[in-house]
Amino acid sequence: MMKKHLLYIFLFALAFGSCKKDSTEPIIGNVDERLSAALAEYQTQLIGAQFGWKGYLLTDNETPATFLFSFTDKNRTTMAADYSPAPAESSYRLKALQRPTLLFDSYSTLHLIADPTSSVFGGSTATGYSSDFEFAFLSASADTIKLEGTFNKSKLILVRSKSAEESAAIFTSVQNISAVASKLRTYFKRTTIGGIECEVKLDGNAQILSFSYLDGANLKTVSSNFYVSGTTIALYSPLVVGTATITKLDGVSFDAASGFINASVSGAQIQIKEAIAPLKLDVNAAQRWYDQKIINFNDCWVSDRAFHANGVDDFCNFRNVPSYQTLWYAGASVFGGANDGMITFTTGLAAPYTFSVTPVVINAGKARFTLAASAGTFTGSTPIALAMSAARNLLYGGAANGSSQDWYLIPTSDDGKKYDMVRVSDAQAWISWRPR
Amino acid sequence: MKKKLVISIVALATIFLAGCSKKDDLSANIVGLGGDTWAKGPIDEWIATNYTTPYNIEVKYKWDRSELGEFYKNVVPVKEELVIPIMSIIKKTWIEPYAAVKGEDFMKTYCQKQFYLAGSPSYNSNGTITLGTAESGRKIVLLDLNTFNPANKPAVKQILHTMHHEFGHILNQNIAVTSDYQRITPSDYTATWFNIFRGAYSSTAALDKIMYEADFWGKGFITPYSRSNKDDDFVETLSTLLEGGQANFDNIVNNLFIYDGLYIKRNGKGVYEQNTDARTKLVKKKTIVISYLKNAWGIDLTDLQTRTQAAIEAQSPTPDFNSLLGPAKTYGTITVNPQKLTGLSTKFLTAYNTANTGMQGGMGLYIDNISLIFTTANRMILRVNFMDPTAALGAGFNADFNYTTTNVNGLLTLTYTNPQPTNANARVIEASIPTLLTYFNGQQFNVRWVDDIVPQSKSIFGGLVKATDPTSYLFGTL
Repeated sequence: MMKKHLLYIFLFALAFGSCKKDSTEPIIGNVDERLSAALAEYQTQLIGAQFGWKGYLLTDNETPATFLFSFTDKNRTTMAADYSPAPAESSYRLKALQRPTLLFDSYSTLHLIADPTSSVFGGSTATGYSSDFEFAFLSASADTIKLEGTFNKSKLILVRSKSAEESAAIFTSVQNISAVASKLRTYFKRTTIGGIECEVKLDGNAQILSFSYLDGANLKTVSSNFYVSGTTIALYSPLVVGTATITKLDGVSFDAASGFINASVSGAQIQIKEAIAPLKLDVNAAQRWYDQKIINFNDCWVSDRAFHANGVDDFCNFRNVPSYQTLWYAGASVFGGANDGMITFTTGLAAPYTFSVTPVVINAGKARFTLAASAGTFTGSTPIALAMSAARNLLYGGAANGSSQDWYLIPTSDDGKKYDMVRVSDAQAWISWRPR
Repeated sequence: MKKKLVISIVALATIFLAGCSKKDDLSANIVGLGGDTWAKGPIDEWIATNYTTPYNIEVKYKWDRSELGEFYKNVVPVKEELVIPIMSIIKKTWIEPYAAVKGEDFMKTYCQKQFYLAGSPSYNSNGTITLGTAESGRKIVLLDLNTFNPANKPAVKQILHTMHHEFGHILNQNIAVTSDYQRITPSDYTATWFNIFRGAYSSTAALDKIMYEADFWGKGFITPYSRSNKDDDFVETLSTLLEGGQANFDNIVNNLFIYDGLYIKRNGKGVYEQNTDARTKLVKKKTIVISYLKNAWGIDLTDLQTRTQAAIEAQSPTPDFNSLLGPAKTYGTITVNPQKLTGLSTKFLTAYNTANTGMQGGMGLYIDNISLIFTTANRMILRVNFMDPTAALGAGFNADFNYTTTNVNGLLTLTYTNPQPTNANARVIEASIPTLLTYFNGQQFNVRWVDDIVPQSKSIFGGLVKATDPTSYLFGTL
């Protein structure tokens, strides 16, 4: 009998014990409710921009693109892009995937650069430009939303447009900044950030900003893709110069009185100035450039845009030469003689052309080009004669045999296959070389 | 005592149960539960009316990466404006023919329940592209739809091929085809079927084509993909029969010969050596497909094929042949080779064979084929290609005979041009082939498709039918 009571007591204890509830409640609320609220909030924010959103996209293969988006409450979006400026409508929706995600869920302008069929809009077969159309929210403030492609990890930054004028100007903002930068006539541009003297390079085509500075005896270069919002150059990834971290350059403008470009970095004013010499010259680069020529396909270096000089792109007007493709600095084997020279490639190699004293004299990192002879018609008013005359004057510093000019060679790629050649005397003329 | 124990146990049980009734909040609104939502538009309404309500089929056209078989590939969504045209054609050329033959309930039962549409193909690492996938009879993923254009018949047929291919898998997975199918070509299935493509065999285009075709048709397979495995072989044969039509299949079979390099092997009198092995295999496969549909599903393939072809033609009409034939038009030449065609009229064959006999008797030569060339305005060139039976394999010789033509809305009047152009070959054989030359001279023909003579042969065969005698006609490949 006692045993039975004990059993009951045990069972009662078990019964009550088993009913102990775990009553912890998540103090920040139900996760689904929070997720729904977040999605709703993002949607409201997207819809709420009266003048739309400026979109800055950097694909995974570092192709920059600029967009103007507007969103409706009916899951429709209208977008224009710098590569396809006519506004076009498509659909979007917000979805909770791993993270709250903005999906552009029907084909649109944005999908052109993600299209894996290269015949549609270029890029590589199977990957396009490695772009995205599914973007996870990384962060959002009232006026800036940062997103990341969930598939190719493209970066997309949405900035609320403040006015119709701002929206209208979006596709010219990069050119505008490039125009400001070209107010400095020299190839080399210097500034001082956090007490460290830096060389600044702004590539408006690839949208890359670089700073080079001396780290001990070595030249250290940091660079990032950028986008332009108004007069702000904003970097996709922050750059560290010494102890300073640079995320953007605000208020970039040219001051005609001082001849400087003014900007501010983290609230501190900086001036970007002209410089006629590199911060640190790679003294072996010129020789490497010259030695590389014969290794290159066709024993030559070619330039797509020919010479920039005195603040003018394509100073020699090669663009007026019918069927112009590239300007060559070619080795003796191309001419079938003993001299290097400069020649235009249109539908084939085209006269007139020059011969240099060969080999080119290289001294302390500078290449001295001396005119040995000219061949073909440099006179008259044909576009090719005008362009080549101007190019001859630049490269050799004159049209008479024996004229010579010194040039720096600045490597611009890690593999040693790309160089910029800069006039030593004033750094106001330069040309970019690549293998054919 | 017993009773007390029972009561106690009941009491305890009550406490247990009552005590443990936790109240979880089941009313929480789980994000994404019940599928995605968006503001519905006209496309969504069209899909509901045409697919979801009648057939319980979901058509997803908005991007959802998780629907892709290979979600780790770069694929882009379909263009919105193409959704309705594509799904409309699929309905008319896939659902409706089956429903007409087997009834609506059949389609409601067996059709896959979900479509997923995407715009680009899925690129594979071996260089091929994936155009569609099917998953266990539940879902069909159609890719590469952004190039869709209803006027582009080959592209339309490609989509339908995918549809009929995937639905063939569903039928086959429900009721398997008899195992004698897989015993027809057991040793020629290969995982590297994708190496069968134009350009893989020879730098000489003509030789490459011959070797390419020999690698699947010549082995008894209807497409390169059908060499993949027995199941895909079966559904490829089925879908090719439905999407391509009967004439297409027969024409493939009728063109299977044994080649020696660039040329078909022939006996001393110009008779081709047929690839009977491949012909037998393909015909046997077709026979099994027909009996499978009949026995397993009670479907008459010919009926289904006729309806499917009619639907394709209705959705993507072929212009009349006369409007496509001529200088700088789609077609310029009709090639007539009786050894590669069946169904030529007796009257034409009599003229052709008499000419051939005349050549063999008079000259010791034989006619290989003739072609009618319309690449010059107001002219038809009758090109007689003839050979010397004692010579080695070769392209033979051409003799060109000119006819002056007038064409009034497809009624073609032919007059033997006088004088004929200088053509030594023509002058040599002219006297031996009078029946062939007079078959055309002074005659009127209707330039038209011959799909009434050879069903479903539009775009494969174009023909000339005598205006005064519809039982006298010829046609040829284009």
